[in-house]
Amino acid sequence: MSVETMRLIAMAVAIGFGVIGPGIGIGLIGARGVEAIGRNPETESKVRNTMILGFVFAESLAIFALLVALIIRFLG
Amino acid sequence: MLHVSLHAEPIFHIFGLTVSNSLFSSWIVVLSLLISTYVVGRSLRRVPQSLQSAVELTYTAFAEIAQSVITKPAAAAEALPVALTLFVYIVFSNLIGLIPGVGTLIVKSADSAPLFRAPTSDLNTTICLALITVGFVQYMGIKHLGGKQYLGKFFTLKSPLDALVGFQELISEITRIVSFSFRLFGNIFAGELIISVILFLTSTYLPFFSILPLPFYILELGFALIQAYVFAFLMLIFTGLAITSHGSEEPSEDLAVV
Repeated sequence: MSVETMRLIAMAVAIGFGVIGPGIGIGLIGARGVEAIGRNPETESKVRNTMILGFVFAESLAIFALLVALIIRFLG
Repeated sequence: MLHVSLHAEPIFHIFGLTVSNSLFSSWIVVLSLLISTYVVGRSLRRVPQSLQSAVELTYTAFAEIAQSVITKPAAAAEALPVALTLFVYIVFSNLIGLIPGVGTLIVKSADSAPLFRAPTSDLNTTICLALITVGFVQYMGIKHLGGKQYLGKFFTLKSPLDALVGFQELISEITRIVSFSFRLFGNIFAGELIISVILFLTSTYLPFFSILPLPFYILELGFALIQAYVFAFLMLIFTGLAITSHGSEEPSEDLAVV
């Protein structure tokens, strides 16, 4: 296997496995958020704000995976 | 074949300065923002028309968020214009990438490059926006807490644990620049990439199903708005965090998550 091939595989593995965790996390946050709004619709704006904050923190892990993938591909 | 470039490409030079396609598009964004502000501001009514009411809805939505997230009303009034400016600029920059012709009109020069490119799909723009945002948050923290108390959040020798927590906050302050810029860039760049890949595949293999990219366009329209909202919202949250001191007597319940 040449270095270029290895690099392509490494990039795919980095981003592919890297988004599994954030994907599960975002799904859980969204599900619980909708559940909370359904139980108590008056608190919608508060729950939504907190939910978006949770999404963002879960998503930033996926962004780090993306960063690593881009570094492997273009800067290595 | 598909033309994908991670970085913005130069299209022409003025006085020795290289103008890339994303910079050129961001001039267009600024120009269209100026024109639309003029059009909305020219005919203000007591009972708003459709365009004016859209602007007013955006403003009131952000004003409510700012007041709920930032505990000091004076700081909220200061941070609101910055957040709205960021929001409007990012929305326009995201949407310009979805206009047909952006990315497909090619300049014929030494190396052919697209004439337009969404400003936020260029990492330079998003890093710049992230630096402005984080810098503004530091400024607000120093202004409303005082330099000594604000820096005391990061550098303390009260106890080993406090020093460690302060160091960790300093690191997270720096990581914010990375996550701010890469979140916006990654979402917008990946969205455009998805649309162009789907368009390429459709036109090559299924020429009779040209409606296939449409759902992705709708998805990207949603993402363009959500990412701009997230950016401005996070800026407000971080400002709210920066102006609250550690030993605050009345901790805000909205910020308990962080």
